[in-house]
This record gives sequence, C-alpha cells and structure tokens, in this order.
Amino acid sequence: MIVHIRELSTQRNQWLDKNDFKNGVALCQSIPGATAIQAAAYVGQKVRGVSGALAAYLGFGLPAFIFMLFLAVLYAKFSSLPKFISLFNGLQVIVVAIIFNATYSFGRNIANNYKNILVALLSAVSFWFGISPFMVIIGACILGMTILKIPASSAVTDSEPKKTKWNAGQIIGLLVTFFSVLPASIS
Amino acid sequence: MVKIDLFAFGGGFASLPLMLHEIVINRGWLDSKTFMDGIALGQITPGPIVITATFVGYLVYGLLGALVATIAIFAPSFFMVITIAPFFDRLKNSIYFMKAIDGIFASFVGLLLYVCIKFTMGIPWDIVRILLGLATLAALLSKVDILYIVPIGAVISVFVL
Repeated sequence: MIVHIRELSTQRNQWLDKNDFKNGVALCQSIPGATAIQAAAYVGQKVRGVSGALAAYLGFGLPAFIFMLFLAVLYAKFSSLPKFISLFNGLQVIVVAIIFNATYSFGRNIANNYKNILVALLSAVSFWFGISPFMVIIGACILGMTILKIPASSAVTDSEPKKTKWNAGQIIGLLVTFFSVLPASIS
Repeated sequence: MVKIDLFAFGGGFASLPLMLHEIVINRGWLDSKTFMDGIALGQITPGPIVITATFVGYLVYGLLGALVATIAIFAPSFFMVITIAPFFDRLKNSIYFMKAIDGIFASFVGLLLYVCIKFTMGIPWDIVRILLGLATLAALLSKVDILYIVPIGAVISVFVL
C-alpha cells in the first residue's frame, strides 16, 4: 500500500521528493493510527496544506468505507445460510494465520533483545490477567523510557528541519467540528 | 473507537488487541466469533484493517452506527498527522520519544501474541481447519500477497468446510 502511494506521489505526480516521503512514512509509523492512510494525509498536507490532507484522507478512506458497509449489510442479511457459515469458518482460520504471521514479523523486528522481549512478555501476561491494553501501552511507554537502550541508527540526525505550513486556525476549527458533531462516539 | 485509534501506534495490526478489548471484552457489542468475521472482511477490503470499525458500527447500530464508528476511528490519526508533521524532525531526535516508541512496539508484540492465543482457542479445530491454517501460514511466510490468499482461501472454505 505504502509503495503504491510513494509511486503515485513521487514519480507519477512529482508532488514531493522521495526523502520527504520517507520522512512522512517514518512519522506515520511512529504515531498511532493506520499507517497507509496517514501517509496519504501527509502527502496531501505537503501539497495543499490542511485541506489537501483532508481531501487525501477522505479519498483514501471512502472506498474502503463503502465497500465495508456493503459487506456488512450482506453479512447481516445472510449470516445464517449454511454456505455463508462455512465460508466464515474458513476465513476465521485464515485470519488467525494472518495474525500469527503479523505477530511473527512484528516480533522478529522488534523483540530482538532481552529487554524488548521482557516488555513483550509482560504485556501479554498483563493483558491475559485482564489489565486494559490501554494501560499496558502506557506502562510500556514509561518502561521504555526508563529501561530501553536506543538503537544507534535512529539517534543520528540526518535532515535539517524544514518549514511546514502549520495552520493552527484550520486545525482547531476541524477539531471543534469533530467534537461537536460526534459527542456520542467519545463515551 | 476514538480511544482505539489514539493508541494504535504502528499501524493497523496494533489496533487489533485494542479493538478486541473494547468491542468484545469490555462493551460486549459483538461476540468473539462475529468480531473475527469482521476482521476477515477487513482483510478483504482494500484498506486498513481498522475499517472493521464500519462493520462493528453497522451490526450494532445500523447505517448511522457504521458512519459514526468509521469517522471516530479515523479522525484522531488524521489530526495526529496534521498536527505533529511539522514537529517530527525535532521529535525524531528526542531520545525519550524514541525509547517510548520502542517500548510501545515491544508491548504490541506481546498484546498481539495474546490475540493469537485467544482467537486460536476460539476455533473448533479439526483436521481440515488445521491444514487450511498451516497452508495459509506457509503462503504468508513465502510472501504471497494477502490479496490472493484471502479469496482463494474463501473459495476453498465454501467447498470443504
């Protein structure tokens, strides 16, 4: 997905250069949220500011939303048909395999020293005993700051800060709209 | 949903343990089996896995629910990008920030491990399912594109399960 966005925005359209894009992806990976759609928003912001970001975000999210809505409607209608049940019996197995694979590839890159493995195991055990994963993450954040050593490569400074438009007014406006339109979703 | 997105560091799969916790364990909106069906659908759709929120929203509260859930799960990460992007260069060079991120990533490996175990226990394993699971895993490990795996697996399941 990310590769696709890169091709579209750095080669076909020349919206921004490759280094900028790489920087953006690094940002999207280290802040919460789905990485690909955030990368799209990042490109949008670089090109056209906040409104560009919003357009890119909607453009990226809308097809997935409509497709998923369609599938959900089908699911609600037909979920008791025998063929449908056997389909989902199989899909569940596939999903488990996909998650196993994700855990493995995630783990291989991250849990590569004993402190990281310790944090990972502690997290699994505390989640097992019913501690909210939100608390686990906050705990891991604090633990990370105190015990982990930083990998040498990421501490190197390579790019000088560039000026990006930061339209506080627009952002606050959007935030206010968001929280006034969706009070129900917060609780 | 807002809460899930706010904590889903590192992309889609990071949100799985959080969704499981909030939607299934904490609020009981869906049972574990239906939630897994939703994740499966989230894998088929050409978007991030958190689009499962749309599915959850629809089943719980119809069209309005789907809309609210989707906006709620996507909005925070949008604001995150546009507010943090200008400062990222400085943040990237902060040792404490990188350490915290490292700790969070490590904890996700653990949380995902738990999701694996929980889902695995939820499946009534028989020989066909075990074979299908192993075949899928093998295909994934040899880097076959997920976009092929899911439909092919789906067709197989209709006929053998």
